[in-house]
Amino acid sequence: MERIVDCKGLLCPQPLILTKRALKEVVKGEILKVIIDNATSCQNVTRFLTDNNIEFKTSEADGVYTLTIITPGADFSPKKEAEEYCEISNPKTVSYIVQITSDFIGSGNEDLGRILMKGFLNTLPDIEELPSEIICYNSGVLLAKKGTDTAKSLLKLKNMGVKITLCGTCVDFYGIKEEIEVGEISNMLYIAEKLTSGVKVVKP
Amino acid sequence: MSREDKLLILFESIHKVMLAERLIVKIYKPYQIIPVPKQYSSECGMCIEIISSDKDEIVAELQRNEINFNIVKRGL
Repeated sequence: MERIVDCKGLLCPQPLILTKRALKEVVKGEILKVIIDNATSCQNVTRFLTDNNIEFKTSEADGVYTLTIITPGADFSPKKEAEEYCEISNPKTVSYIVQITSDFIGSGNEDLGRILMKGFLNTLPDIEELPSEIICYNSGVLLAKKGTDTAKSLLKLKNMGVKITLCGTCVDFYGIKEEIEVGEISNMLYIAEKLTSGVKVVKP
Repeated sequence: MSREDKLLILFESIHKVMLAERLIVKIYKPYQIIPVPKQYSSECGMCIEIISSDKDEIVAELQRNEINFNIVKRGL
């Protein structure tokens, strides 16, 4: 029997998550084919399989990789979470930083400013060049709170290779440390170094 | 989810976008606020992107609240 996991068009960690799920579902000896159309995701899944002693063969045609796996059986339990193998190499990211200083854009009506911020974050993935990093402080850290649509947008950007940094003082101030969905907590020394490093800073 | 699975709801003003967002949140449907694509309007504006399968419920909610809108397919 053969099972196909079609990951074409998906970015890391989705191919890893789908591969892990399929490995848990298949019967021992079943052949699993994972189809991936980007080299970085293929390398990540390859590392995941190798690290978990799973035999596989790789073939490539026109930029589409097929990993053929002889499945280990239902008792498969990975050493680490699949997502931990997700290393991103995205040539779209360039050297500019987006500085987000509040959860809304501009001065004036805050509800309008929140809509504008959502529009900004949701349109960033579609522009030609992504920022290398988004730094959030003051009420900007609220954008990374679990359950918010803005956290989903930031997560999408993170999965595309954009580093998300949150000001630790601000996270403490708003009392949301346990509710952060995405982003690395950092301090003002790091933020100051980044903003003064000469890299272009964009503030929406 | 591919773009083919998504629809855009276009409104006559940003006030209607804000009102519609509150209604969509209330009925627990996923959505995204995005700028109106250039092919639909040359002016600055926001619209709401939804999943096709949620269309009927969201349309009903917007109509119940007498909000005018247009729905177009994402990516056309």
